[in-house]
Amino acid sequence: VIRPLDAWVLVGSLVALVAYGMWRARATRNLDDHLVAGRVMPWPMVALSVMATQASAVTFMATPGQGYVAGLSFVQFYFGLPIAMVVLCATLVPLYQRLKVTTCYEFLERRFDGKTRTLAASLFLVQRGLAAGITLYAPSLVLAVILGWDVGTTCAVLGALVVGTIVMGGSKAVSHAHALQFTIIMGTMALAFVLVLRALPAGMGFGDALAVAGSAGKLNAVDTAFDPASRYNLWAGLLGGFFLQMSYFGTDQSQVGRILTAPSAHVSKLGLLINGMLKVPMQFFILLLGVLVFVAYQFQPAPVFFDRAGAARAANGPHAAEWRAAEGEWQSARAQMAASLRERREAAALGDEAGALAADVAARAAEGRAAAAREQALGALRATDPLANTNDTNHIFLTYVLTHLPAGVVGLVLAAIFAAAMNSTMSELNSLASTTIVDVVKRLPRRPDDKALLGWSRGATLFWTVFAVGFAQFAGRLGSLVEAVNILGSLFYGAILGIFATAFLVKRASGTAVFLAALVGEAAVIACWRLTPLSFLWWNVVGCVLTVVVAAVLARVFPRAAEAPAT
Amino acid sequence: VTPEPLAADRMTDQPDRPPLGAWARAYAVVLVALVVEIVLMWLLTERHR
Repeated sequence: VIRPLDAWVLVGSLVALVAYGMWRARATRNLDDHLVAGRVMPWPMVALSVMATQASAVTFMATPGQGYVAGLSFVQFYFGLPIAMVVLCATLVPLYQRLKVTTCYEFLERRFDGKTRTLAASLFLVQRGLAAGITLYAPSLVLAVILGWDVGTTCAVLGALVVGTIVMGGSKAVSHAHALQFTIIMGTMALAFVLVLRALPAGMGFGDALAVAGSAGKLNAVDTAFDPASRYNLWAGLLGGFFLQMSYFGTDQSQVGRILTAPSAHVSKLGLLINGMLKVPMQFFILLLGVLVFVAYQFQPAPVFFDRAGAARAANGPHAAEWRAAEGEWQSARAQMAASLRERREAAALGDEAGALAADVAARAAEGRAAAAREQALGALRATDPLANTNDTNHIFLTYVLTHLPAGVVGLVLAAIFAAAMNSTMSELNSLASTTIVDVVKRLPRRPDDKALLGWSRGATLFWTVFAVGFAQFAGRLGSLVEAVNILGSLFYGAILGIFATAFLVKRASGTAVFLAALVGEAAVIACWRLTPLSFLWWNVVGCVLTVVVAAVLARVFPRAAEAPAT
Repeated sequence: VTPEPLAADRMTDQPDRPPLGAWARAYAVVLVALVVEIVLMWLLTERHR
């Protein structure tokens, strides 16, 4: 599938990335270097590392797909992020830097007790270990599609590449690799944006493309209606998103670990605020890229199902006849739709309003036929394989890149996707290792010495890589990966954030009070997930608020013994 | 009778008070940027509704 030039660009970029990270980290000698990069990173490195950690391959594969399918609405997910950056800069970040902690859970033992620290660290390890599987799965899928390998094998290869960099170079390698990777990613996405615009039909400008996208309902960036069951609206984004991002950046070690590579609170804060400024526009443009891909596909043939492997299974299976009939109907309806859209443009250009309206109605009718044909095709796929994944969101952008972008650029986009995957996976594995060492191994009755701990840290990285690769085998069944990874986080973030919020808000709460409250908060979140239609962003609010309130009530039964020096 | 100094004067009289400002201004810039972005996106949404 892949052309030789693209293969060279891809392999060259990957080798350069790993080599660069390891070269910059060649002086890693001790545990502090390995876990927090010796705390010497300047603010641009902190900002890039924080942004690169959140911008996983999921972001670059699934977000344009999300834009294609659901329009710009997903951008609202990030509205709470800048507010969270400001609140964190004013509260937790100065505290972490003053206490010189290595993981954020250390703070919990100083403020509360050992069991609260263990609970928060355990919730983090489970959540992040599973999420690492999803972030590893996304690029493995790419590699599997272009090389024709099994996705399990590509997962293992990629895991080995990432683990090699971290085991050798630690956190310092992670930070330096992040800076280079993020630059490649943003440059490549900007290039893809320009190329998709240029691929639109002759005479069609950016404004015309927006008009087509708008008439298909894809420019739905801000929804002001309040609906607890709707996933993305202004209120869920501002409030639910605020709680989620507070928890992610303030209490998730994969981010706190990046923030702590800075030498002072001043530098950490600058890094976070830069992130707060750039995140929303960045996500907007990535979603808009997906919307433009949607517009481009309105005027040219698109596959009925973007997951090539799934399509091939259905086309060669026992229901091949149904599949082919549906595919034929899809192509004919789509051709009709493209013709009607062209007629509409021409009529509009001539000022023929009635003609434009008639063409628009014909285009919508053809779109309806195409949607019905796709349903038929998915039915044939399900009949062929009842366990088949019928969600192809994550394959859309990849398919466009592979079939429409020029040689060389395809290799660059693929390298960017891999760079993004390595970014997040590196931070995740590094933070899982740090938490395992600092919050578990170092607290064992017979604690290994510092030299041995460096070995333990490398061992922990290996262990979590194997765990992530294992879970990645199931990640394909989770639907849109960009949503899956955030839904998984939202199952745990509320209670963890509640523990940290209690430290600030309920001065008299003891360790036992907050420990029990966190268990109640976590149970409530699980109940929301299983028993109510409440959308996932709100789980963060429920978990956090309930933990704080229950801790405040229980503080009367289990009051704090003496003032701890931490707060 | 010497009048009581105004609250603001009393505050500026304190010699070791940290300069109010640099971080507060930075926080304000981030939040104002968010509001501007949301308004622009809302306008885009409404225009193409």
